[in-house]
Amino acid sequence: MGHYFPEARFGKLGTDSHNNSFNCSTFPGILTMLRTHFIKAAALFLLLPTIAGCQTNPPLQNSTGVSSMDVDSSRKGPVSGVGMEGQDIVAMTDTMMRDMLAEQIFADTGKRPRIIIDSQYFVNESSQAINKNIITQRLMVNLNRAARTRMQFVNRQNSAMVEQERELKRSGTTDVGTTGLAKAQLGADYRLSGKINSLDSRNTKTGMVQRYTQISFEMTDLETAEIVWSGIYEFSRAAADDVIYR
Amino acid sequence: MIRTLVAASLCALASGCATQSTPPTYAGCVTWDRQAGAPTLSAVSVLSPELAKVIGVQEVFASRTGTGMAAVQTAIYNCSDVDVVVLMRTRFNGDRGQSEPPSAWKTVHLAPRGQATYGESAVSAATSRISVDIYDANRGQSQFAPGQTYTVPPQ
Repeated sequence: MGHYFPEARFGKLGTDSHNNSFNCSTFPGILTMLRTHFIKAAALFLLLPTIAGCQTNPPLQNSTGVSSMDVDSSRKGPVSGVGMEGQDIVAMTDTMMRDMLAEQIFADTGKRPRIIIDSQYFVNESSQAINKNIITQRLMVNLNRAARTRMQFVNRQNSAMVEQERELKRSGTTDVGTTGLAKAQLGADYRLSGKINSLDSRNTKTGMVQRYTQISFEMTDLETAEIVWSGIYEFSRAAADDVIYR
Repeated sequence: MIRTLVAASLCALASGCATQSTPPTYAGCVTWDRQAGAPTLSAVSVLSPELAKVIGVQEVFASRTGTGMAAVQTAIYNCSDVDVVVLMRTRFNGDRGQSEPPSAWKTVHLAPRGQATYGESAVSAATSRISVDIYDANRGQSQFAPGQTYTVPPQ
């Protein structure tokens, strides 16, 4: 052909200039050509209203792609593999929260034990790269919303931020605020720790992959080192789909 | 000749070659499609019509946890000879409608002809009524979109 015109750019109705070249050699030839053009124009004239009448949606810009969709984060979505996914994090943190709140040491006694929940002592030893903050943050937020009257949450991750403000207040650079000064930052009674582990197996003939994932949680007394609560969440999945977790 | 072939095919289908979308259940096992509406199981909803032909609900038991929160235990069973995986969640209501958000979907595995117990507890003291939803774990999310065609679900 000599020229390459991508179909997506010009569409199927695009004209090819090579086919429309004009030849004036004979009169009958001209008549034949005019008749052909007339038939083509008439056909196009009849076709246009039909196309316009059938078209109810705007034309697709990317007919071979899949447009984005909102999926329920608590259920398996269209892209899933054998590893830990959004629905697992939602289910796991919900289960741990309910389990923790059913424990007697966190009952509503008016004492409000102080707890640190962050990812500092949450270790990922699994084969999957994962941002551990997704787990600990969801657990902390859910617990905080459900049981603020039963437990106090201490922000140890940002203790430097608190210390900086305390210094400004005490040096007179700022006033003391509206809630007053405290003798010291809160000391914690319990801290969350945990581990993510996994066990992978692969069938070399079929390429099928199976993974057992185990996430364990522990709440440790920061004075005596006693584990006052523990929970485990585990699942096994097998698939031959090629999914990459990022 | 063609008539003979068609007749033979119909006979073969009628004599046991027919297929169905749900696994067959063993004799005497009462599935949810025959239990639905029972007053003792009114707190349970099986959201998948196919699942209703495969599993049944043995009992729903409400109680209080050690911290005084409402709790529920639901025992379900598998009437088929294949493994069945379901998702279960609990909805929590009080005197003024929903007392707290529904629990997350929890995966429950049912061995062939096996039983499993699902339990959940509330986190709000305002919860006084509990209901349980059961759904098919292997059903992907399919969303309504204008212009698509849909199959008529089994009744």
